Amino acid sequence: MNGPDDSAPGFPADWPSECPPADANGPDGIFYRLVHGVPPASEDFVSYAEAGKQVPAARACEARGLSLFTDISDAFHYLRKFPSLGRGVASAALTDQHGKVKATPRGPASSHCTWWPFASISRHSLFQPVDP
Amino acid sequence: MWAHTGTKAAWPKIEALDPEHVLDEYDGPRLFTVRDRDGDLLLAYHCGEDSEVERFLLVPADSALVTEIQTNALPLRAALLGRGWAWIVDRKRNGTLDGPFRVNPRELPEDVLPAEGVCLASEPLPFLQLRLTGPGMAPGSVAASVVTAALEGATGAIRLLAGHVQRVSTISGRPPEAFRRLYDLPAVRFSFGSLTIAFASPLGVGQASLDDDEVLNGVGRLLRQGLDWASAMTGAPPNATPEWRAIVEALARLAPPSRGSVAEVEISGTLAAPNGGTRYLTRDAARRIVEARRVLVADQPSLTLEGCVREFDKDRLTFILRDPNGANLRTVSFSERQYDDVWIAFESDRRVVIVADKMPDGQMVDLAALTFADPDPPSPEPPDSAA
Repeated sequence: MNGPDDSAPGFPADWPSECPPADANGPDGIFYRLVHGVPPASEDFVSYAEAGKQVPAARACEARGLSLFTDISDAFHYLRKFPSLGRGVASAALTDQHGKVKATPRGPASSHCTWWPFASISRHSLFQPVDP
Repeated sequence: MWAHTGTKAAWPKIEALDPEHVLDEYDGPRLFTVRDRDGDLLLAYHCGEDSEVERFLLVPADSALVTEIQTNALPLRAALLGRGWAWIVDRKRNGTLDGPFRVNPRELPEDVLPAEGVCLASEPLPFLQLRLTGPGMAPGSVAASVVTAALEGATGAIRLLAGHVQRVSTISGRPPEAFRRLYDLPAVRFSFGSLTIAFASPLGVGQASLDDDEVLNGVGRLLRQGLDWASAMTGAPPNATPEWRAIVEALARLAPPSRGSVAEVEISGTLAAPNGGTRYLTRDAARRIVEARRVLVADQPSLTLEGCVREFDKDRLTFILRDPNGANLRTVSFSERQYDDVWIAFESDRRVVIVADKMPDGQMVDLAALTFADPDPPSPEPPDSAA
């Protein structure tokens, strides 16, 4: 019998148990995120929890994830709503090699999802800026 | 982090930003309500962040305001600017607050607030939207000439590009009203916080012919090509081709003037940015456009003609301009706005001077301006008899 594969990508050890949630799946498609510059930088991919912000216990897992959109128009809409979040939009083709995602629609943005990237992933290098 | 000039305020009494109701979030709460120690409701909007603090703009709120935001009845910018009072609060990573600082939200940097007209939920993009910003574009001080220039700039740019696309394509023999319909865009929204004008597609649902689609697709392609070039501020000047002449002339109609109250024009909508983004024409971009025009645009297609209006066709909105000997000068297309002037000229037989632009078919011209010629021109000065 084989033991656990130590080389398999995993999530940070200090994340809460049950995080990502059981109903999160491997991503498969194009995803969009707001970024501040070209090319996207690692600072554009820091989660709420990684930034050291105060997070209610009930949101502890979601705060480990990053907001993404599957609909590019939702991404540009957020850029116009919250200019503080970035200056442009970047896209990436994500697969199950990159972590887990779960659809977490916000009222105003039905394509919003949360991405829990594997610990070993260089997140920003996956993303390329897209034209408006 | 951007600087503000707010003054420390004793009110509202608030020690933490614990959301009572989250209206929107991205990674975390970005728009939410909170209550101060007196139980008063405030709306908090995320307007800045650095490695140490998050900055929020707080304005007084009530359930009616929240409902208006949630039902998309009120744009976010209007919600934040229209409450009279506003405060900045900086939240450190440990949750403690610095502030509140009382501010005038209208004096905050433009790019820390929601874009004009943007609501909580996205709405279908307009066909074309222009937003003019600059030091003289404060509410209540936008000159009528600026509004006129923006309207004519948008329609003039589309007209130029549509004319070029039609000239180089296989589309021919279209009546002038079909061509005019492509650029005489229906204006669907005006906003005067800074001047914003949104246009709908010139073609209603189900009205587009294949020719119309082909022309408008070509217009969008050329417009985006031009905006990319103008805003890049690097790279070679455009080639001296008819296509680039049309593009540069169209950009010149959209760009901010080198002087005056408008310093930047934001251009969005499906025609300019189909993905929902915004493109910008700054004064630097405008200078680039001026330089390119100096080189590229040598042959102005406008004509100035003098004659009398004959064969007035009120159905097709055309007339024939003839010289005093009855020879045809041109068949001229005009708009409904020009109908009365043309009718007076036709009925009165008065001589007119017109400025007209060449239409894509090369035969007809499109009326830009009409004035009545002086019926009794002064006779030439007699020779100086004293000499």
